[in-house]
Amino acid sequence: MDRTTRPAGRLSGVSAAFDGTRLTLARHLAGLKKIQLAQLIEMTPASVTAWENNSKKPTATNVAKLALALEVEPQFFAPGSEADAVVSAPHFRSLRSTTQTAQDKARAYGTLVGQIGILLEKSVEFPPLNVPSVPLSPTELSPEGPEEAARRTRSQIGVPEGPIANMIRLVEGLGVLVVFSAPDTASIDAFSMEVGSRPIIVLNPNKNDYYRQRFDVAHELGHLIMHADSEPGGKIAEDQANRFAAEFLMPAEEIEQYLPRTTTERGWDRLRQLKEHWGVSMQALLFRARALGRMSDVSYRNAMMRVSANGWRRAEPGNVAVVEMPSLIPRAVEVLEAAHVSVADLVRGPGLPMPVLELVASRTPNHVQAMRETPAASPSGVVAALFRTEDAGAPD
Amino acid sequence: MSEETEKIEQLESAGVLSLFRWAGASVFVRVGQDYDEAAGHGQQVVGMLSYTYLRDRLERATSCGRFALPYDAAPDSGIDMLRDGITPDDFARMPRFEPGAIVRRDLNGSPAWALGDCRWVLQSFEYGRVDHIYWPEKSDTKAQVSRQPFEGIDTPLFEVEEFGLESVPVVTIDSFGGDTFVLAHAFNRETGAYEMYFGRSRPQEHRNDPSWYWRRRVVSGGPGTTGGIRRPDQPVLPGAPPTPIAPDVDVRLRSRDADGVADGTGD
Repeated sequence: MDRTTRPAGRLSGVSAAFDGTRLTLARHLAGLKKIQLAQLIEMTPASVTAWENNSKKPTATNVAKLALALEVEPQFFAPGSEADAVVSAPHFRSLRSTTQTAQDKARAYGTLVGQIGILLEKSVEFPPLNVPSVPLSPTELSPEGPEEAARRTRSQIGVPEGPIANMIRLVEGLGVLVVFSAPDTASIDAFSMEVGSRPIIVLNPNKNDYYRQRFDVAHELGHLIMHADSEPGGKIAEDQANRFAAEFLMPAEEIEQYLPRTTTERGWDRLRQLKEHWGVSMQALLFRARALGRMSDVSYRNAMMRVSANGWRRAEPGNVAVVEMPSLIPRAVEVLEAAHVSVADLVRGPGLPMPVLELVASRTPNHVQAMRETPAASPSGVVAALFRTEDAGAPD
Repeated sequence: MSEETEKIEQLESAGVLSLFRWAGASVFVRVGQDYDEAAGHGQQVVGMLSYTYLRDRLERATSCGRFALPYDAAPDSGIDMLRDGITPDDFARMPRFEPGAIVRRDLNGSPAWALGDCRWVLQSFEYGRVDHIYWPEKSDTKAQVSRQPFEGIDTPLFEVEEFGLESVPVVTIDSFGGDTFVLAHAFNRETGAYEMYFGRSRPQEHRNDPSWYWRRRVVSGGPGTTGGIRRPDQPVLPGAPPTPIAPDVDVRLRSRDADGVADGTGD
């Protein structure tokens, strides 16, 4: 893709049809504050604010500067049908440990994924949207709510008895877009949101744990099923999503009798066996055993001390070394390319940088990590920000 | 160096003993799952299942038999076929041999594998009774293998010619130039324990004659052993374990209008 050709005609057109929300999106993706962007293009923060809230239009020159600084094509700022999609607030795990900039960036990334989805959907058919809705108040404690929601979901979508064969494939079958996040947003755990009517789950590429990633996906599915219409809550909503995931992956009725009461004698052997059979971590099983009253608090504490002592908090032993991988967007790209539809052209239309599409369309987190090496045209832009590793820090 | 030491070292260094250990764990966990005494299964079923699965595992890992590759194919061709029919764990742990490193050299239609000049056939036996195998009862092929000439132990003090007798012509069992051994396998129906022995079988005239010149236990596992996977207290859990490998979801091109352009209406 030729990033340097920017015909003046196109620029002036873009200047006339400039959508401030697109600028906010690009700025958030680049992880920049308004003042930082203003410095980069040698303008005042007030101008950036005015452009973003659509009270003023930037000149063609300033559109070019913005495009250059943010590493997007000028037409990225043009309003498009996909840009009108309503974006829900994302469900983040722990808001206390993430900065506003990181949250904005993650939300912008999710928005972009949704918009790419909308774009692709013009040419391909995704599985029909079929996420059940079992609304639950994210601010009130509910004795059986999340578990009941999980049971209803299993029965409604026809999950057979036993383990979920593949969590990502299951949610994709319900029409959910699943992607890995950019390396730079990896401090934010998996999260979910909706763009238009399309639910999205963004996974952390650094987790690299098959069992825990399955739990993450089930947790986010819980948010989409229980909290779609409510503002993201705090601890209660998170707890509800965890309880949903536990019941969804390990139905009490099917697992309770097999959970060990203690970890003495063959308890650990049993946990290892259950871990492989149900595709969940031993720590999730221990928590489940305690939650179901199968294991006493003392036994649970002792077991967790042993987990820590063995270094299993960070890396549990397990037989499966690869994680589940998304297929929906990668498949869509393959289908289009097989039909000789240029995906590059498709994204060039709304001015998306190609590396960002590659990131969104990647099947594996490894691929995402390999792309950290992608040379960025600008040290401040979207590509640089998404592919920079976190320890490299943000631009000043 | 005795033949026993030499052969075991040869197999170990080529990774064949690892193959046996992997195959044993994979085969006998599966045999334990399939075996159903209530349905009328007995030792015959155990022997048949063990033989079938063992043959299958050896063929998978060595690209022989059902899993043979054309000579010009990449070693990774058709990897989904290798994965199909065994658990993801078994697949992940499967030792892989370069095609041709271990080859099939069947004997009278019985499957046999060869690493260089060392060939082995399969034989099931009743668990714990490895030294009571009576080859003539097993099959003509196994009896034939037991009658191969072997000078490792029974070297006579005098050659027969020294007594003015005619020497017995050397018996070769087929065109294979090397020696043929037996990989004997057993599964304990009661406990789920299993064991495999590799050795040189010995000709027998009577049921009480020794079965082997030498044999070495190369695999053991199951309940009560260090290599155990399935334990007596391990129940059969509901459903099948999950797998990270799954087919893509269905994504199709939207219907196109007469101009060949995606219509984008979503209908």
